[in-house]
Amino acid sequence: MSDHDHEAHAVDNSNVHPLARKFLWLENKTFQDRFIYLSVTGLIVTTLLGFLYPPHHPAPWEGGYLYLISHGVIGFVAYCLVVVSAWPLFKLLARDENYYGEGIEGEIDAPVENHKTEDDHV
Amino acid sequence: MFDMFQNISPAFVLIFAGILSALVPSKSNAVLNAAGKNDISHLLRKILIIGAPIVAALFIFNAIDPGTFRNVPSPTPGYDMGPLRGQFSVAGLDLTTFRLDRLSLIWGFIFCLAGVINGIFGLHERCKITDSTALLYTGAGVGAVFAGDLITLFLFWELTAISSVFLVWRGGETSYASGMRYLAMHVLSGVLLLSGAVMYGRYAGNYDFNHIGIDVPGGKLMLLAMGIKAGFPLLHNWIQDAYPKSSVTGTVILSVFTTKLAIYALARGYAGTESLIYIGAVMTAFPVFFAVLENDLRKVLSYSLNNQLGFMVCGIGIGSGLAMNGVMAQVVIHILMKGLLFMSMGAVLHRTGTIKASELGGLFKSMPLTALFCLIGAGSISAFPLLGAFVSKSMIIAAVFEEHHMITFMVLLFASAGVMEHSGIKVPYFTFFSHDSGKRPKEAPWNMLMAMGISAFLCIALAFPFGGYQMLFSLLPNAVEYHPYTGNHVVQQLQLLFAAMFAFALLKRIGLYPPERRAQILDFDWTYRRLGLGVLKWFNVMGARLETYIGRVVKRSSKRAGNQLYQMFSPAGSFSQDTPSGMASLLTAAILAIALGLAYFVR
Repeated sequence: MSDHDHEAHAVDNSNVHPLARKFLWLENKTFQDRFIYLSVTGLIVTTLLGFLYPPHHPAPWEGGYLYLISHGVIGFVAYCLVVVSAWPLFKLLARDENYYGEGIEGEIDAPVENHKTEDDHV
Repeated sequence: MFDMFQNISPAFVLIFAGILSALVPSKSNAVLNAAGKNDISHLLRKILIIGAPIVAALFIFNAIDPGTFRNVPSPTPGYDMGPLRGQFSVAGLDLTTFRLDRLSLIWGFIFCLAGVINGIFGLHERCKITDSTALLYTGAGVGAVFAGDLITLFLFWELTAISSVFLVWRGGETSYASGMRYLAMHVLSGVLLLSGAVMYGRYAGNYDFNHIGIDVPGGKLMLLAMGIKAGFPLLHNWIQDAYPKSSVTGTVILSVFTTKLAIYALARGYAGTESLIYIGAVMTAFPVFFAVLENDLRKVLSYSLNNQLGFMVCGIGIGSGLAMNGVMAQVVIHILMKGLLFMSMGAVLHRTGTIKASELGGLFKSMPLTALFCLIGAGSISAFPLLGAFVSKSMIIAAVFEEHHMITFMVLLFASAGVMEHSGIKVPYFTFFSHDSGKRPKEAPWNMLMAMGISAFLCIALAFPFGGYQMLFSLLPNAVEYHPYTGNHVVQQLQLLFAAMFAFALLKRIGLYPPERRAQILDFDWTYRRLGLGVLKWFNVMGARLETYIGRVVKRSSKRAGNQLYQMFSPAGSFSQDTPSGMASLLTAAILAIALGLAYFVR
């Protein structure tokens, strides 16, 4: 099920945990769209702080200001590389869920709603 | 008063409790409900599973010699802390069951603490098998880290395998084959360890478990044995195969002991072995690519476990004081934070019946405390300042940098960003946030919340800048000055994390972040689960065909021989034809002549 499939569910907030009610803004589309600005702001602030606190363990390259944000560069490039590589790797390595014929992993027969869930082994 | 207990390994407390737990008779829920009684045996087992690790920890504490154990790191290499205890001889072998020094102390304490937390997490579970084997498994882990010789290590090494496989099998029918593969790998590991130990013992003249190295006879075999348990590249698949298929409680218990026991053995026997630096670097990097593909979130965490073990293996390969301190601190923090993440995913599986990222989302609305604890675990493993791995993993990375292994250093930074992706963002995001799945399960049971709360508290407390990390560091054996909360370190770590978060947000916005899809992702285990199995099946079919062919040939030949004999000896055969002397008489006479000739000439 992709993200689009998730959207098919009607959002029902009638059965929300009391502690979670104050955090329903987390699912707000506007907040999620603006999350990118939060991360950019953090990156800018830490970059500026990099002038005050140059890295003790910088990446081994000479690159002017890039030197000061070497960890930021590595973080960004590494993250993008890992995520983007998932597209071809999925095509290469993905098979049917029951490929090995041992059943489908990651699911138990029935969801459990109370404590008396597992059989008592005598 | 308690001196008499100083020679008893705390492992025996746990193993005894495990046996006791297995012997406690219990009745089924149905019987108890009908009689309107509480299950006393269940209560007793739960007292044992929480109480025994506490008693074991007290045994360790009781055995610490105040004269030699000071909260001052040892200025010299080595971990000597007192006399060897629990020694006895069997069949001419001197065994040491309780070697307490600054290395084993850390593992012993954290194993006992994990045992208590696991016990609390599994309080709801009414399963004698889980309770008993969990205690035996914990005892085996503790026994192995306190083993002073290779034979004792081997015995506990095998006990960890035999006891823990039941936890895998508790995962249901789909886990049976995984359990068998798990058992096969670990028995193989034990056989290699014993073979290496025997070779080493003949060479060294004793079986003491101290630094071994790869240049001595048996050294490489034992390294391979430890490599299987530590999840070295291409030997790692048992982790991702078995852990996600175990029961909710089983996975949490499994995530603690086996792999960290292997790290202990490597730290004890192979510190400073250069090849471990490169093995560790590969271990940190390759799971990152698999974790991003996986839809099963417990499998994602299993890859993440492999990745974190890589940092530890790398640190052991470096072997400097700073690196070894980093490894030990990372073991403590990792057991807590990885257990926390597995617990939070276990709680989700317990409540919703699935742990597929594609089926989850929006669970923070109904499981807010579980979400909070998961976020703390995610932040810890991503090494956010004020949380877990920020104070431990950085020591290993700094040690790699200071030893001028720049490529390895870059790989570790790459892997750190990868950790942020799969454990820091993917696991909490797709479970608790992302798009609302419409699922509204209850919050996790109180006991699960309590166990997660303790772990989360410790993840924060042990990284706290004022008295927190200092407490953790005081347990570390090497006298090395390291201050994690410097402006440089905080800034460079935040740079990396914010850059990764920015990359995530950007890739989501432009639609390059791959959706979670249900699939089986192939890994190296394909070689034996599919290719190897296929080859075996081919041999099986070919063997059956050969057997049929040989049977047919034998049948045809015997039929032909029978026919010929019939033609010769049957009433109508040539030997039975009615002649005066008869062919048979002639032949008998000839044979008699030959026999007489032989008897005359051959004496």
